[in-house]
Amino acid sequence: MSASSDKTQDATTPKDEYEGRGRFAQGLLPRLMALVWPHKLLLFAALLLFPLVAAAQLAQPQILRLALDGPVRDGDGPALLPFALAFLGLIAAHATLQLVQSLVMQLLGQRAMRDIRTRLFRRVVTLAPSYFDRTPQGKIMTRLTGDVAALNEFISSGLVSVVADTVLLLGIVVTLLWMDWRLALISFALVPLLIGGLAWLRGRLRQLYRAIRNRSTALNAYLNESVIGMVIVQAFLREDRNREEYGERNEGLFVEQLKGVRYASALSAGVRAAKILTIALLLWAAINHTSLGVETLSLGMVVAFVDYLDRFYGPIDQLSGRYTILQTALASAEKVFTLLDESEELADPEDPAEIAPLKSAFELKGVEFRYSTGEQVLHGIDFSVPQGQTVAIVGATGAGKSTIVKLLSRFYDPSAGAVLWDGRDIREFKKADLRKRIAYVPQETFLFSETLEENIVLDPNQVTPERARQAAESVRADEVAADLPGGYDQLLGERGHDLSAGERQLVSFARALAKDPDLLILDEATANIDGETEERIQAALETLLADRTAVVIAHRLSTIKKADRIVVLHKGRVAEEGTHEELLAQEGVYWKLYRLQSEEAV
Amino acid sequence: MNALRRYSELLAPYRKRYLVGFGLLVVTNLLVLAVPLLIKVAVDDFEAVSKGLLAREDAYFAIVAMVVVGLLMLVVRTASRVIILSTGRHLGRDLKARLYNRLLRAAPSFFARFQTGDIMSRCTSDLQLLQAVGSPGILYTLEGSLIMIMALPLMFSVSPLLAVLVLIPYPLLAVVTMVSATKVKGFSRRAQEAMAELTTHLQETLEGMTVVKAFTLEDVRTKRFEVANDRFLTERMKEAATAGAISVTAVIAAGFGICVILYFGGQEVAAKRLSYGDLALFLTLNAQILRPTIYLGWVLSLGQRALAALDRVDEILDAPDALPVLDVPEGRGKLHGALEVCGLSFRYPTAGEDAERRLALEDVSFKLPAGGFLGITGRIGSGKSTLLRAIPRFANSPANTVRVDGIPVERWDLSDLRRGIGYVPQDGAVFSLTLGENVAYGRPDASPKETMAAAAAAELVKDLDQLEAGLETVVGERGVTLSGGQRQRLAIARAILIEPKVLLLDDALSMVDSETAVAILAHLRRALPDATLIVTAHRTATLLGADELLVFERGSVIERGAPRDLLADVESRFAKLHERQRLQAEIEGAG
Repeated sequence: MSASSDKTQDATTPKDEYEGRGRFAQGLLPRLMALVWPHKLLLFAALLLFPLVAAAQLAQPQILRLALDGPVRDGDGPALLPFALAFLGLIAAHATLQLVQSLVMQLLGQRAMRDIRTRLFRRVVTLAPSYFDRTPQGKIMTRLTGDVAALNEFISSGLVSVVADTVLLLGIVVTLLWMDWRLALISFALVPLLIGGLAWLRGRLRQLYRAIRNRSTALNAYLNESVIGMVIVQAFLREDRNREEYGERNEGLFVEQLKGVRYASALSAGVRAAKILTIALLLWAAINHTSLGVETLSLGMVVAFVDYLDRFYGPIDQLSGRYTILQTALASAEKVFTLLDESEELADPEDPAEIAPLKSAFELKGVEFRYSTGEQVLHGIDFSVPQGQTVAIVGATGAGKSTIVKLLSRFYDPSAGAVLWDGRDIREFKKADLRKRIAYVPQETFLFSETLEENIVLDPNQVTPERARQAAESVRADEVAADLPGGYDQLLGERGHDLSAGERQLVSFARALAKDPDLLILDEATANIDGETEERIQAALETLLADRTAVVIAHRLSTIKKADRIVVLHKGRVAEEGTHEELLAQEGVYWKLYRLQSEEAV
Repeated sequence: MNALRRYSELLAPYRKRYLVGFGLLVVTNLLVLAVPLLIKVAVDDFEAVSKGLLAREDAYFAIVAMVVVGLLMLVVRTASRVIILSTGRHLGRDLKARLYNRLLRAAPSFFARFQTGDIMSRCTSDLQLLQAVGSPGILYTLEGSLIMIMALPLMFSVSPLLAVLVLIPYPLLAVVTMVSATKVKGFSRRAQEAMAELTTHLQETLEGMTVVKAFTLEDVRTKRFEVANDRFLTERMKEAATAGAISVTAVIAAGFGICVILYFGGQEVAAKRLSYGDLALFLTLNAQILRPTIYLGWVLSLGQRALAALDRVDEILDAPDALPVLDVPEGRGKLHGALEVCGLSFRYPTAGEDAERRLALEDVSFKLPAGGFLGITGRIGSGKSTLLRAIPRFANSPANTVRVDGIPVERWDLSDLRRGIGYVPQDGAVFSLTLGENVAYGRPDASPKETMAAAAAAELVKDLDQLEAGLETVVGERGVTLSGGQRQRLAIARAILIEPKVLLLDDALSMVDSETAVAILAHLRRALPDATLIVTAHRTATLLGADELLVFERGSVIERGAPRDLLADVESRFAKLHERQRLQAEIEGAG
C-alpha cells in the first residue's frame, strides 16, 4: 500500500471509540430497559412464558422415565398409551408456547426498534446545522440502519433469550440434582472447564466483532462515496485503483471474519464434544453406581439423565453465540445513544414567548459571529428591516452575507449581539414558531422525491394544495408544471434532476409564497440563468417581494435597485447603508466599487 | 439471472473446498450417529450389568469409545465448520467485489434507474442477509440431509415397523414448509423494500436538511418516516409468524415420532422383541433427525429471504447499462485533440412518451482543431452538458457523429479516450481523501510539486492557506467541507493534473467569481498550451477568450462566430447577454 492510501485508510477507518475499553458505559442496561418499557406487557408476557416453555421441556424426560420404569418394565404394553399421548401433548405445548414466546419477543424487538428509529430520526432532524457540518451522512445512516438492527438482535434474540436459556439450564440442574445428586455432580464435572474456555474466548470475540464492525462500516462508506462520485471515478480512469482500494478493505474485513468463523466453529465443536464426554462420564458412573453409594438405579433414570444432559448443552451452545450478539449490540447501543444524546445545540427556551406577526421591524443589533475555529466573520452588524420593506445585502464573496442568512432563522446563534423580532430576541421564541413566520429561499433549491405539488406544499398542515397552486401561479411556477408530462403530479427524481436550475428557483419561490411569511429571506442564486427564465424569475421576484418584509442577499442589479435599503457588507462589517441613489450620491465604497467595475468591464 | 445459477457460479472456484468440507461433514455425522449407537450399547450393557449378566469391566468398551468419538468430534467438527462457513465468507467477499466492479462499469443511465440509497441498501443489508443466511444455510442443509440419509437405514435395520411409523408425518411437513416458505419470500421482499424506502427517505432528509429546517418540516418528514417504519415492522412480523408456523409444524411432526416410539416401541420392548437400548437408540435418532428437520424449516424460510435478497443483488449485477467495450478499437493511444461534431442529434433513452420535448441535441455540428478553444453558452437544458458528456461517452451519441482525431468516439478505446480528456462537470465530486489526493485523483503518482502546480493553476492555493494542513487536509464526508467554489476549483485542478489533450469544463466555473474564472482560464491555457478546450458557461465574460463561440437553444446552435464578431453585432443574442451581464457585474462586483 502506498503512502497516500495509508492516509486514506486513516481517514476512512474510524478509530473505534470503544476499543480497549473493558466495560461499556454505565447505565447502558437501564437505557435499554427504558426502550423496552413502553411495551412492558409484551415483556411480561414473554417472562411469563419462559418458565412454562422450560417446564414443558423439563417434563418430557420424566414421562420417558416413568414409562420405561413402569409399563415397559412390567411388560404392560397398552398402558403406554397415556404416556405416549402425554409426551405428544408436552411437545405440542412446548412448540406452540415457544412460537408464541418467539413472536412476542420479536414483536417487542421490532416495536422497540421502530420507536428508536423514529426517535433517532426526530433527533436527527432537530440537530443543529453545525452537527451536519462535522458528521458524515453515512455515519448517521448507519446509526439508523445497521446499529438499530444490531440492537434488535439484542432484544429479540439476545438478552431475553439469555434469560430463557438460563431458566432452562437452572431447571435442568435442579431436576438432575433432585433425581440423584451424586450422578448430577459427576455429570457437571466438565462444566467448569467449559466456563473457563468460554471466558477465554469471550475477550477475543469481543475485540474481533468490534473490528469486524468497524471494517464493515469503512467498507460501506467507501462504497457509498464511489457510487456518488462515479462519473469522476470513470472520467479519471480510477476504476482499477478504486477496485484495488475497495479490494483491500474487502479483504481486511474478510480476514477478520475468517477469524470469527474459526472461533465460532471451535466453540460450537467444543460444546458438542463436551456433551459427548459428559454422557460418557454419566454412563460410566451409572455402571459403577453402587461404588458411588447409589443403591438402585433404574434404566428409566439413566435414559432420562442422558436426555437431560442432551438438552443441557443446547442452551450452552447458544449462550456463547448470543454473547457475541450481545457484544455487538451493546457497541451499537452505545453509538445509538450517543446520537440520541447529541444535544440540539440551539435549544428552545424553557419558557418560550408567544411570537406575534411582525409589526414594526426585524433588526440585527451588534451581531458578531465567530466559527468554532475561532475565525470571526461578522463584527458588530447593525441594521433594521422595517415591516413591509426590502433590505438588500450586497458584498463581495466572503463579506459575511451567507453567515447573516444563517443567523436570521436561527440556524446558528450569534456569538454576541442579537437578532430582534419587533424588539424581542429571537432566542426567546421556539424555533419552530419563528421559522413558521419566515420563508427562506436558499441559493440552491433542494427537491424531494415527491410530486411537484408536494414539493411546493412541503407541509400539508400549513399549506393546502389550492394555496400551493395559487402561489405557483403568482410566481409563474405553473409554467413549470405545464411543461412537465405529469403536471403538478409529476414525480421529481432524486435530487430533482428533472428540473433546470431556473425552474427549481421558481419552485422555491412558490414554496416561500405559499407560506405567506411575515419575513422573507432570499439568497439569490449566483449561477446565471438563461434569458427567458431570468425574465420569469425577475417577474416572480417582484410578486414575491411586493409589500413584504424581506432580507435579500442580492446579486441582480434589478433586485438591488428595487430594494428600499441597501446594506453594503465589507469584510464582516456594515460599510454603508442607504438606497441605490443615496449610496451613489455618497460617493463612498458602493460608488467606488461601482465606478471601478464599470471601467474594468469596458 | 436465476438466483441459484448465480449462486453456483459464485461457488465454482470453491468447489474443491466445499468437497473437502463435505467429506469432513460426512465424518462428523458418522461420529454424531456413533454416539446414539454407543449409548444404546452402554444402556444395554448397563441393563446386563445390573442383572449380573455382564462383568463391569466389559461394559467400559462403549464408554471409552464415546470418549474417543468426543475428542475426534472436537477436531473434525471444527475443521468441517471452518471450511464450509469460511467458504461462505469467500463468496461474500467475491460478491462484494463483483458488485463493486459492476458499479465501476455502470453507464450513467444505470444511476438514473437506481438511486444511491437503493444501491447502498442492496449492497449492504441485502448482502448482509445473504451472508448471514447463505453459508449457515448450506451447512445446515448438508448436515441435515446427511443425518437423514445416514439415520434412516439405521432406524430401518433396528425396526422397520417403528421406522415407517416415525416417518409418516414428514412428507406432510415438507408440503407445509414449501407453501409457507413461498409466503415468507414475499413478506421478506416487501420488508426489504420498506427498509430501502426508509433509508432513501433518511438520506433525502439529510441532504435537504436546510429546507427541512427552514420550512419546519421536522414533523412532516418524521411522519412519513413512521409510515415506512411501520410497514417494515408489519412485514417483518408477518414473515416471523409464517416462519414460526413452519418450525412449530416441524416440532410437532417430530413429537408425533416420539409418541409413536414410546407407544409402539415400548410394546415391542415389553414383548422383548426390542431391547431397552434399541428404544433409547430410536429416541436419540428421532432427536437427531428432529433438529435437522427444524433447521430445514429454518433454512427454507431464511433461504427464501436470502433468495429475495439475492434477486435484489442480481438486479444490479444484471442491469444492462454497462459501458461498452470494443474488441478492436480503431482509436488507440494518445489523443491529439482535434474534435469534430457532425449532425449530432441526441435523445435521452429515458425520455418517455414526450419525445419532442426531450430531444436534447438537434443537428449540432462544429469542428475544433487541436489546441482550439470553443466557448458555449445557452440556457439551462439547452443541451450544452449533453454535448460535453457525449465526448468522453457519458452520453451515447449516434454512430459517427462525434469524432476525436477523425475517429468516432464509439470506435475509440474507452480508456484511451478518457485518459486524453479532462472532464469537469458542474459539481465535481469530493472524496474523503486529503485535498492533495483529491487533486491527484486521476494521477495518484503525481509528485507534490506537480499537485501543487495544478492547484495553483486552478487558483486553489489561496484556499490552502486557510486550511490547517494545506494539501494534507482531509476533505469530504470525513473531513473539512469545501465551499461550492472550492469544489469547482478542486475539480479543475484534478483535470489539469492529468494533462489532458481535451479539456471540457461543463459550467465548472459557475460558483467561482468572475475575475478568478478568467484567471483560471488564463492559467489553463498556459499550463496546457496544446489542449483543446471547450467551456460552457452562462457568464459570457468567461468565454471572451474563445476562438469560437456557440450559442445553444433547445438543443440547436442558434449563433456561432468569434466572440469579437458576435459582440460587434449588437443585435446578436450573445452581445445582448453580455451587455446585461456586464451591467450586473458592475453591481455584483461592487457588492
